[in-house]
Amino acid sequence: MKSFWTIVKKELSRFFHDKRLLMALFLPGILIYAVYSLIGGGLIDSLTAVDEDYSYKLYTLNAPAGFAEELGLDDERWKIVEIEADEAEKIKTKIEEQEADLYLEFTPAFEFSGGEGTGIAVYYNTAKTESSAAYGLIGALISAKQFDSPKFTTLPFDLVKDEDMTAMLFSSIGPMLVLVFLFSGCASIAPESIAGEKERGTFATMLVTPVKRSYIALGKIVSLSILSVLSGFCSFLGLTLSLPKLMGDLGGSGLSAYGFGDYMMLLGVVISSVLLIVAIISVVSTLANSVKEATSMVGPLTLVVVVMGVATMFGGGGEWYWHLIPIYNSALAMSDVFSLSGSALNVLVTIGANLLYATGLSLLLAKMFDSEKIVSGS
Amino acid sequence: MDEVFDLEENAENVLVARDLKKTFKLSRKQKKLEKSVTGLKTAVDGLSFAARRGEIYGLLGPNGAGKTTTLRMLATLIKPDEGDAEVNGYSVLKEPDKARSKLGFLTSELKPDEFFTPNYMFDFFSALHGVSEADREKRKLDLFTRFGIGEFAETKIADLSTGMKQKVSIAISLVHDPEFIIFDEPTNGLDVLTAKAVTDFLLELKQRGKTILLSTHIFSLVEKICDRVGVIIDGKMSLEGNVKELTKEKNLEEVFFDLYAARKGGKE
Ligand SMILES: Nc1ncnc2c1ncn2[C@@H]1O[C@H](COP(=O)(O)OP(=O)(O)OP(=O)(O)O)[C@@H](O)[C@H]1O
Ligand SMILES: [Mg+2]
Repeated sequence: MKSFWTIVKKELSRFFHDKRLLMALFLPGILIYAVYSLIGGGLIDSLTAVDEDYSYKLYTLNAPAGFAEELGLDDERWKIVEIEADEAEKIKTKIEEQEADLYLEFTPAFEFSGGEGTGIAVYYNTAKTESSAAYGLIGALISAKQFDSPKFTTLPFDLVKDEDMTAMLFSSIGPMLVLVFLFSGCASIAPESIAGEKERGTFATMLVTPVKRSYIALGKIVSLSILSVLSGFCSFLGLTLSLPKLMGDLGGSGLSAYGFGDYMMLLGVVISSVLLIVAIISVVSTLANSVKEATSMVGPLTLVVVVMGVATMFGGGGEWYWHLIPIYNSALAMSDVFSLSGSALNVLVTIGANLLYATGLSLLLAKMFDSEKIVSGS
Repeated sequence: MDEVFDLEENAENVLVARDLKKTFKLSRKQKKLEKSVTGLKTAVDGLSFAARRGEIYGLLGPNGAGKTTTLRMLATLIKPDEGDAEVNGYSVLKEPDKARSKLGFLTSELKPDEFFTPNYMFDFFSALHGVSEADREKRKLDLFTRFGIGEFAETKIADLSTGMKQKVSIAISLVHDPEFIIFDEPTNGLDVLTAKAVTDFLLELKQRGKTILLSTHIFSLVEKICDRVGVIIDGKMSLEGNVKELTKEKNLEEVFFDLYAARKGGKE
């Protein structure tokens, strides 16, 4: 066990004394900050898509008779409920809580041909995709009406909660970004640490000592994990710092929306994902005979991670068994935590599955270190 | 072939190799180079020999004879397909960890991480070998002084000269003061001065009762420092014996050429 720590210590000091490797470790974080600060809010628009057969929940107050026909709203897609004046606050809260899509408050005895002093207040919530879509649709129809009789006014109210704003952003793009950062952080160091040692002939020097191969494998994995977590953390920091710019004018209170429990779940998911990613890349790097070869083998894997991350934005995931798929589960679980709807069971399944896979791969790595063909690279 | 030694009766054998055999699968490129039809290359073909305590045993053979492959099997870096070997009584197949703790393997293939200093690497490998701190410091002082490494102890290995790198490699391979030392091509690529420093050191190790197995294709080296020699051709032991006795009438080079001609002549 002592020799295991010796290996970890050596690996770490190797990296902390090499400027080039340190750069590779921290550059992704810096790049993320730079890139996302530049592109700003452009990402948000691309994330709004509503299901084909979704029906919008629209509440109205003082709606003129036949206004739906007047605006040309399709019955199939709009569930319209006229409410009493004293229910107004309750409905607004519902929109805030993302339980209703839209609330139109007409001035008493409103008519589309009405004159001065008449108007419509439109309440919606940008954090809910359907709500902001409904707002877009109704808004366009009402504008068309206003074109005919420009006398009445419209007042839009966005009822989004600050923390939801943050949640929406993080839950949609965050997981993929974090995974990609963790992956690229690890991909920048593991090939050097394993394939590089093979290439330079320093690996075999360890193999002729009495240290168990499994300790060598473990030493590599643990030190790489420590470094990858650091690198991942830097990327995460870069992302967090650029978040205000990413969200543009929409505001939001940043990370303060998340509580201690959320952070703990996130931490568990991140650490277990790192272990898995490190194990995957280590296995790949062990198969390669040079750093160059290892890097070119890891490249396509990065693409897989991106695809998995993106897939969670569209694919399924509510049930626990989705959380058994490696990488995909991490993106899902992070997405759950980010969107403030993390289920402890799913997070635990994710962490458990990741640890299981990482352990399996570590055992495989130890086996590979025992295989002369792989180690001597002929 | 004659039995030159009795493996079972001589208790003082530090190394015993029995019927070692190693066949490599060739890659497509290698296949063309070797003009091999089967795609297989038998590098070591049933090799048996033993090294006695306190002697220097030389494995002599032309390029590609299978010397390095043999040494790598003994150092437990690769596994023999057939046969087995014992280092200080530990089987390289069954107890590779224990065998490794009793041997030191020196070869240009194995390099200390050049990113670190000789001092750091010495401590690192001492820790991996489980050497106590007191022993470590004593040996370090001894070896570093012996090779003049002292003043470079805190210089990155990458910045050292080739000769000094070689000396550092040797020092680091001996952190655990092994009983049995395997040395592949000890003087390859070294200038006469460094080469002499290395051979002197080997003789000194022998004086201290260590057993040394070295491989080389240099006849003079064998004549100079080896007690016994095994001549390997095509992975097989062609001749084995006491160096002094073998070179009574002819020098080793002539002995080898006669042997080689006989073997190759008989084959074709
Ligand atoms: N990993 C390998 N894969 C395929 N063939 C190999 C491998 N290692 C060695 N060989 C082949 O086995 C034969 C013996 O090689 P080896 O390195 O043991 O010879 P050697 O006696 O050390 O030669 P040299 O004096 O050139 O170092 C050679 O033909 C070599 O090409
Ligand atoms: Mg050789």
